[in-house]
Amino acid sequence: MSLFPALGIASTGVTVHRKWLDAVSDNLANINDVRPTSGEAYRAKQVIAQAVDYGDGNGGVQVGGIVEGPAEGRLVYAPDHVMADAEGYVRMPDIDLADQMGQLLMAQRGYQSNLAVIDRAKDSYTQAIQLGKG
Amino acid sequence: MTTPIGSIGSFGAVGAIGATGASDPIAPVMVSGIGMSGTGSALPAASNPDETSDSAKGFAAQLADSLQNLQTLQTRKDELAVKAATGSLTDVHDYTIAATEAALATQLTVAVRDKAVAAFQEIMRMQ
Repeated sequence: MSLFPALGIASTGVTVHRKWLDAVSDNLANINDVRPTSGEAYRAKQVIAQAVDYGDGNGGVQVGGIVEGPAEGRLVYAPDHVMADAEGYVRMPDIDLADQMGQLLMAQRGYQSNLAVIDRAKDSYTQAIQLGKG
Repeated sequence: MTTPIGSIGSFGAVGAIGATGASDPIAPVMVSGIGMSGTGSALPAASNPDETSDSAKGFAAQLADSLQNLQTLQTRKDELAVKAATGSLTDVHDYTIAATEAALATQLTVAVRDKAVAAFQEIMRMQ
């Protein structure tokens, strides 16, 4: 139990949302990756948030793991592509752009709200310390 | 005559043993009872130095602990500041939160120090 627990707990939330932002960023960066059908497509990364037990005073959240999407991806008919196979197909990652943009917004809002908690907690702790002065 | 004396003596001895055996657990109760039933000058005068030394030690130890805690937070903040300067910081908020925590701990320690000094000066003003 630290001296200012709210700061530590909100800090874990910011960290998890930062990693979520990283994952979405990675997915969006690789959304147009093209692979031959003989290879594996880019696997979409999804961050799994996991609560930390509050029983011993250590609240917060952590990244429980990163689940990766299917390596099959989706087959796209692009006969003019240099990587196209005999049937004219290439393999692209199975990532939905709209879904990733939605996750981007949620990760951003989560990041911001945890920072807002830190700001308010700091103000509250400061006021509690001011109580002992004067 | 000797047997009664012997028996009395033995009884006396048994009685004394019984009394001392019984007085061991009773003795603190009696002392505290006397102290409580006294005018309050004897027992508080006897127990006060212990209590004040305990509480003074407690406050000193607490202050030392809080200073140690403050030192730890400041060290962590400095390490993260070096990381931020050298570019090996992965989380920006790690540094800012550590800095916030260190600043709050400093404010708290200063507030406690001010209160202790104010109390000391108030006591010195009593003369």
